[in-house]
Amino acid sequence: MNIAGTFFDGRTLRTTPVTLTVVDGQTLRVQGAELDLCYDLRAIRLSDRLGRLPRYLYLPDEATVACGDDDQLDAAFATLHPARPHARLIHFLESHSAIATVAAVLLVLLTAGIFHFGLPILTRHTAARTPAAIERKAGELALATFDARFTASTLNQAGRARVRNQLARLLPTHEAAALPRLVHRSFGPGNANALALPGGIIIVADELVAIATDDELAAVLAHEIGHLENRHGLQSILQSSLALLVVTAITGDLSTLTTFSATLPLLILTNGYSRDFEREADEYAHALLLRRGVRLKHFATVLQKLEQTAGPARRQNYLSTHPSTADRIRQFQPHADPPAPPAAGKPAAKSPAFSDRVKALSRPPDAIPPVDATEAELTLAYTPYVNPTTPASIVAQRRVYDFPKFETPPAVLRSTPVNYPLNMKRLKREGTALVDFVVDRGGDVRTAYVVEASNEAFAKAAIAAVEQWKFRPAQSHGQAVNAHLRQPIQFTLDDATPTPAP
Amino acid sequence: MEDPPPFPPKSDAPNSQPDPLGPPPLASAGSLDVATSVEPPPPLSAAPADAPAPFGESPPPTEVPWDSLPPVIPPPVPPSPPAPTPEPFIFHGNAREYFRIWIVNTLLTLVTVGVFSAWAKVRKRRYLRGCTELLGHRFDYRARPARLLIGNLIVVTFFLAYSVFGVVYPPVRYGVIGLGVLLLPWIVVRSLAFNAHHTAYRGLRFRFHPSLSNSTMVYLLEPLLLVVTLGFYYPAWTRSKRSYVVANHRLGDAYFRFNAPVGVYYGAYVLGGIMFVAGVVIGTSIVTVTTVAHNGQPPGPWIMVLVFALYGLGFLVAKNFIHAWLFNHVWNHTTLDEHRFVATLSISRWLGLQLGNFAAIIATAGLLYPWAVIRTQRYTASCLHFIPSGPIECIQKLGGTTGSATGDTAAEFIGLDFGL
Repeated sequence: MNIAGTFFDGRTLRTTPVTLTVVDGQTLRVQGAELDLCYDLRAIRLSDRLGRLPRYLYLPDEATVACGDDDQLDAAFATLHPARPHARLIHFLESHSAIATVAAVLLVLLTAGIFHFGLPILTRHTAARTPAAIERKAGELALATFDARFTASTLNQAGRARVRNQLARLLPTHEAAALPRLVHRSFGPGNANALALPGGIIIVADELVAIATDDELAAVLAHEIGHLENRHGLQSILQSSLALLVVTAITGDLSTLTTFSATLPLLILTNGYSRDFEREADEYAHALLLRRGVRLKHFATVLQKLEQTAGPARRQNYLSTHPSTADRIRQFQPHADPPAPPAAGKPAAKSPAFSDRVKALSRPPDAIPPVDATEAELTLAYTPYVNPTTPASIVAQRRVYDFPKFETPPAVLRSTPVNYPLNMKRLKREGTALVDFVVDRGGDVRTAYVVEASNEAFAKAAIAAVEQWKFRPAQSHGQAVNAHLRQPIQFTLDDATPTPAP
Repeated sequence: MEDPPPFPPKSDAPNSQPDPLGPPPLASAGSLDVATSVEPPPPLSAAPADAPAPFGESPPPTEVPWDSLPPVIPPPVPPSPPAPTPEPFIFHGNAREYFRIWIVNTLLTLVTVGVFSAWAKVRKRRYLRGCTELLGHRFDYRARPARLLIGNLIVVTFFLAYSVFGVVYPPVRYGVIGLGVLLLPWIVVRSLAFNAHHTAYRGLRFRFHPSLSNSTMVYLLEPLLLVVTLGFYYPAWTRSKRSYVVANHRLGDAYFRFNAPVGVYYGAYVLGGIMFVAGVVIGTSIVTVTTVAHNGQPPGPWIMVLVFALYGLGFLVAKNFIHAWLFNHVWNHTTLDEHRFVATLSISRWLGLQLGNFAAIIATAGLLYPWAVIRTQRYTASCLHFIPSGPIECIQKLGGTTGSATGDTAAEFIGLDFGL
């Protein structure tokens, strides 16, 4: 083997063209003008292949030979001095465009995967390791930023006591100092909201306290406690700044975390927590409410209430900052449609499946022995009131109406609340009533009758209320037409007084 | 502005440039001063030695006729050596080849969670330096990755200790940071020495001779001056760093020297500052005008994106303008013994190059980074010339010690730029 190369003596910048030969398998002979040297092959280091760079043989006496012939060199060195396998492998990988393309794709996928999967895990891990003092400080800073946007609360002591009681009800084993701190603020009209901040702070809007019953308050508080337990506030802060997260995770230095907590209020107000965080909080609330014996449906009902009070703007409303309301309602109402509370929204259009669903709802309540109940009252309470066929008088009255198909169903304009029969309340009896009626062209309710009800008292109360309702009539081709509707009305007892504090 | 690496080791960042070496102007070696005047030989005194000349009188000079003097032949003037020709730096790098190398190494680094980074860095540097050719021969980077790896491990241990102990006993953190700051000069020195020692041209290694006191002066004390003057010292500090780095490098027994005046630094920074401020002013005025036009409503997202793009553009333009202008200035004032360098970077072309690189990298989420690197290196090399004032083979080796690997990786980890 004869390889041409250039010899550098390592002491000057002089260069000499030389020829390399391998003598008896283990000596390298370097020959050139005025140069004839022999070196042991084992003492020579050969540079790895890299692209099309020249190869260098590093000779033991600081001299170097540069040459270009790759294959002959490797062949010469193969037996005594094999190129390290990893260097050959890397060079092989670097030499083929196909491999490079695959590597590029892999790199992109890997980076995206790390961000998509690794990031949540990293934030959760870092948030869990944050000491409570830093979390509290972050919460204080976030609260200070919030206070710039909201006005002081006008809630009286009774209202505050209500909220406090519900919180204590949810967390009975917590000492007073360990309970989350309740902060009351006024968010402005129509903005009913509750927010959880790191460090165990729950902000409750006066507007929310005004429209929610005690159980509904408990449901909302349970959801916010879910945010606190999972440290979603901290995780949001960390996620909002990738750099912060990486630095914090690597160095474990959390002091900069507090400076970023000022971003949290804005985050929550504009986007709310992420859907994953909301789902986690909902699951936590679900479990907590079950444990404490609060009916799950109250969460759904409060959401519906908020739906109504929200109005078109919906800024900073509980619903806008807590996305995907319909899914959440469904989660808390697994078996039936959301039943319309007495102050209901649009009544359902006539559909056959409705009566089946209503039947499912009117199941007999748990056997609670009533107090001081006479035989007559009990009979009244537990005798269902049914009209299997439409009463003849109603049929006669309805002859004057025609019911063409409508595109727009009637919409309720004013719905008076249904009075809960006092004797039923005393007996702690709940029930339902299904009212069948007609909405005429003027939007008034005509020829209402009860199809079926849990008992007569409920039927009477239902009719009395429905007859006072006012609708926007059904529309067909731009004209008001009559509509025939059925509306289920549910009577349920709340555990505490439903009237909000004035 | 980052300090370019000492000549000739080049880092693989697109904005790197070969070391700036200045022009040492050296007195032209060709002309000899030949005495051409012909003077009459001094007259012979006729007065005897023992008879002192009478005071006040001197014997009349003997008249010597011009014709009897032999003709004076002026000594032969050697022919003046040919004017030194600028030798170009030729960059042989290929974007496709480098992309393959870069992508495979980056993927392996990611997959091995950074353990492979030492090998990756050595390979990339070796490729970029090995593709640079001067006077028919290429540069060789021959660092052993294993030593870099050891340095990496030491730095990682340092950081782990910082976080673990910091959790247990927080004041430790301040102590560690203080220690890091104090160690900075040493880290700089070691990393420069390591890189220089492992770079060779025609088999002869470069050397960086560490001078810890100088390094402390430049990297610890001068920043205090920076603080005291509220930042006005910054251009001078940049020059001071470059001077320190260049003046302590040598190739064999030939020393690099740096003698650039500081005024141009200030000029460059002031102009760059004006450009950046102009960008900011334009952006802010756009925001103001749109807000006023919309009666106090803040401008929509598209306007804000445009404004931030303007800010970024202003910053990029200013940064690259400063870089290009100072590149020329610095290389024109760097010398290697009596040989010098000439830089002819065109500012507009450089700006176009860098903006194109930036756009390409953003558009491809970083995949076109190696292409940008190669483009930059090729253009930088084409703008730099070496003017040897004589044969360079006479440069010889001097003794010296090797650098260590730890300083090198510490520098990388901390992310400060030491012109490597």
